[in-house]
Amino acid sequence: MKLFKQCLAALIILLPLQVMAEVVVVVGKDSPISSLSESQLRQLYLEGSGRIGGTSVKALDLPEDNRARKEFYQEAVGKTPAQMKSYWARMIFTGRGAPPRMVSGNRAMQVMLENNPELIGYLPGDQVSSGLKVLYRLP
Amino acid sequence: MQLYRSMFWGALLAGSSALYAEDPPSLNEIEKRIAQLEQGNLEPQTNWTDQISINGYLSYGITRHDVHQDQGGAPPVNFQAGQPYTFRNRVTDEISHRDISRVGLQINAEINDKTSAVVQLLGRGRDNYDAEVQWAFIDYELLEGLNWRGGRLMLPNSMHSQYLNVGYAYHWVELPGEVYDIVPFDTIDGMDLTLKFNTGSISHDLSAVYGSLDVPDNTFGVPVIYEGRDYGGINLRSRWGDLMTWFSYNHARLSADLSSLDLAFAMLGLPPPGFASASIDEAVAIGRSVGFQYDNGSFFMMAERADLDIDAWYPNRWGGYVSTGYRIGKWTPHVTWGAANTHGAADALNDGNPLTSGLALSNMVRGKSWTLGVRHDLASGIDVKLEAKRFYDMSNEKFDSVGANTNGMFSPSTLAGEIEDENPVVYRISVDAVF
Repeated sequence: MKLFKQCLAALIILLPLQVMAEVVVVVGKDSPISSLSESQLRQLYLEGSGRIGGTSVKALDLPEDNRARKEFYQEAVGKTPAQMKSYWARMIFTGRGAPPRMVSGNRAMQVMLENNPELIGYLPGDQVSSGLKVLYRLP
Repeated sequence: MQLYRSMFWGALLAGSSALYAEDPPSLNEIEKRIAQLEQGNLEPQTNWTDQISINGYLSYGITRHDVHQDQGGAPPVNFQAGQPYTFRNRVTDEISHRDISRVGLQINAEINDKTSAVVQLLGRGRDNYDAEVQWAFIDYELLEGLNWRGGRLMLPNSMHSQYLNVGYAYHWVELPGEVYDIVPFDTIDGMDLTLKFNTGSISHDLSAVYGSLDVPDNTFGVPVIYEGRDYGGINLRSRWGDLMTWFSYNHARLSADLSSLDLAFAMLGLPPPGFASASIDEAVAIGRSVGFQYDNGSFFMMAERADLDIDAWYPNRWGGYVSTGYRIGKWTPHVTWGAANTHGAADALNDGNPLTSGLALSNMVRGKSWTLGVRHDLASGIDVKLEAKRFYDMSNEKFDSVGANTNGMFSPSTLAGEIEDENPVVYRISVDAVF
């Protein structure tokens, strides 16, 4: 019974780790962009690039199997991965846009954003490094 | 042509580093990439892969119908007498691995912040995969949200027209013929101007297109060139959350010199039927379409209607469909009802010219259909689809005249005789990929 209680306690402690950390939209510290509206964010990720406050920006994506990416698209764009895949097939092959460039993971996202003020991306809330600033927190 | 085809396939293989097919990188690969980034190789403009991207699509499909009957009639009325009935001039009751198989390869080049160039090649199985250019344009951003494109463009006739060959982009194996067979041309040489704007939370793409087209046709065994001039159109695509609406209006002057068909008869030692009198001379053609689409990620529904009116012997035609489906994990069962009808050929039927009235009667299409299908997403970027399309109500009771085609989109009854099966079925299976 004691062992059972210990296991249970361990589970309760570990449980919050299973809950997805919040996703935040970030840019490098040197980026001139200081704020971003919900509709600007949605449009940016539906077009792959755009202008925010007169600054040209390109969006970055985490890998397709990344949980933060799924959560980001559901919250920010309101679309599932399947919908986005069909959407980009339509956009690409009608020459109306290219999807955000995909980086290989959180670390690559941090490094790319820290060094390129014209890029914008998203990360799990606990992955924001000191060289980044948060523009938007997804609910 | 051989060289061209080789280049096409070479380019296709070279495209394996494309965007969609990116394999999960290994840890070593990640470390290497990060090391490169940290060493200062960070300027996107210095890396050619940021300026050039290659994407492609491929569909392998098999199709057949279930009309096990040979065409009637005899030459010179029907040169295909004794052969199986065809659906849309191509599909027979034998399995075809070529008819709906196709491959496309697209190269996008970003020239500068405001300018890009796009080339898309398409090879169709039914054309022996000979490559043809579907898109080839320069895109220039005139103002923020206002883009001009010039070159070869795909016609924006209906809601899905501009990606009609990209099987992965929709749930059917093929787009409903009731709407997508109405206009027999799919590209235009010219330009378009697109304005993106928002009204509240609704985003719009308003586009105007202008140009011309020259389409060679070999249906009768001799070349006929259909010329479209002053092709102008306007369309509006609006999005509001999960809802999308579509309107389009297109206008052109259409000409076709059919006298070469008389020459073909003369060469066979047959009396010329007088096709020259059926030539089309700058006939006004007007196309319209309206559609909507709702998709909340699991449930979707779409409907569309398209009309084409040509001021010549060619009967006016409309078609429409309503389609709905539900995504259950990787499976998407769907059902579609479609209808097509022709009307307005009274002038041709009453002008005293037996040839034009015969052409009008042969080109009449009436029919309704139910399509049941399922799509299975095998993995990201690749699917397999099955569907069966069953036709009904192909009668001629509502046509302008008796003697009209009663075989719907199959070989016309005016030439080949009536199909005995009142409910022919077309079967299709495809595997579609984008990369």
